[in-house]
Amino acid sequence: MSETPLYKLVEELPSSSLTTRCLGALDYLVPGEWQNVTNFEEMIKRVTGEDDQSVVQQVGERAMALYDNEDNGYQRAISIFKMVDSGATLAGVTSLAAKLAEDVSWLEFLGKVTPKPETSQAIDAALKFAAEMGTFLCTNGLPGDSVGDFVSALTAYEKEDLMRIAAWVSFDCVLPLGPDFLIIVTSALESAMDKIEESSLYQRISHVLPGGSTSEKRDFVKATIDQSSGFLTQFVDSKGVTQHGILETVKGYLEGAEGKLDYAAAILDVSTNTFEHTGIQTVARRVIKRAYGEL
Amino acid sequence: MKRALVVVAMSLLAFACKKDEPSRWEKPAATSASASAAAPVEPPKPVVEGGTLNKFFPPESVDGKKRKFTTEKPGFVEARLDDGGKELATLTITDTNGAGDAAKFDKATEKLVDWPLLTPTKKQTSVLVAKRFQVKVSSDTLSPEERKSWLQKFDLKGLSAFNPPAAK
Repeated sequence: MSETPLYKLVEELPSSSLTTRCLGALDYLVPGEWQNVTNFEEMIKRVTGEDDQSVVQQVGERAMALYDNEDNGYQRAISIFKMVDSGATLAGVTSLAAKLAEDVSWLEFLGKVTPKPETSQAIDAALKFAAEMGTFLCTNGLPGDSVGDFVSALTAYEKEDLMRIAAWVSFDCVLPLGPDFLIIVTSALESAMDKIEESSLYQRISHVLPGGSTSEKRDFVKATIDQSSGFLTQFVDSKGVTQHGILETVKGYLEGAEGKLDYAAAILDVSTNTFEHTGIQTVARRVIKRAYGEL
Repeated sequence: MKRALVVVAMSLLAFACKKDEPSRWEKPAATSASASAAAPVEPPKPVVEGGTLNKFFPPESVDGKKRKFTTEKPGFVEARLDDGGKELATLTITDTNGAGDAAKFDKATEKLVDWPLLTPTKKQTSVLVAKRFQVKVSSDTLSPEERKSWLQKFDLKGLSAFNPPAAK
């Protein structure tokens, strides 16, 4: 039994917050994909296309019962989405603290700051991507018959799912790491695997990743990032995602961070919860869709 | 004193207004919570591994339409049917395993071959195969006849002979 019923999770989402404003500012990357739906009935109508109130009621009740059954994995998906943002907060604080240290007396701290903000950001980004996979597996199972289906599903992402990826690419990858973020993330995965293993976020999501041993799970994370690299590169190139473009988009919300890309990324990291916000909408959509199919 | 009474009256009124407008979802939420506490064996069990149902779906490519699996859960598989990259329909198989969900087909007046057929909403058409598997096509754009035709592209015969292992 869940502590918070599904309808309440949706209806407690803010209709306007720093998170929603930052997501809204990224609409130019994924035009019209994301609507900030914070009403359960409206979401049922959007997902099913039905306006018959008795159908809406039946779908809603069934969706809530499906969500309520812990075995279905939807509650776990939401808990992972929530964990991602609290995990990001810690990583954000680390790089923010490092940056502040540099500002106060960077000569004194030069070479002594560990982990380096870039490595920390790269690991943070990789973990978020692993979490995305974890929630995908919890919410959808592994559709089809091969691991490659996740990557295939990624290319078909839309709506809040696509917005979450857009936010991840923008705020966690391109803004702090630059256009070659994939090289940096891959290298961090290869060279700092022990740090990933030590991460509390990784430890908490590892049980939902396929594979028995830790190294199998890590290989799966790495393989999925490798296999997604085509999609991610194409996303960045085709949408024209640049550090300057993202900073221009969100600079109104980041007073004093102009020109300091890693500082801006750190502020976004600690002050927004894009995974949790869009994740709740993702799970609600999936559960409603299933309820409609089962009706 | 008078002012205090007004405040009390107003807060009572506010309370009453709030009580009068509970969310339409509050009752089902409470019901499902208490139901699971009182009767934890409510969901129909056992159901099949979702993946074992994949082979009964229409082929990956039919008449230029692409079928792609989107959800695979115990007792439930969902696929999306695309036409030129746009969603045309959602295809699902649910293992009702003789639970209440199958009973609604008792009212069916239509049949597809031997299987009872229902149109549960104006956008959905479904059949019950082997008194157990609900096969459904949901679509914003397809007509009831077209949905029926897509139901026939499932391997319903194979599904009717399916003797599935239960999910773990």
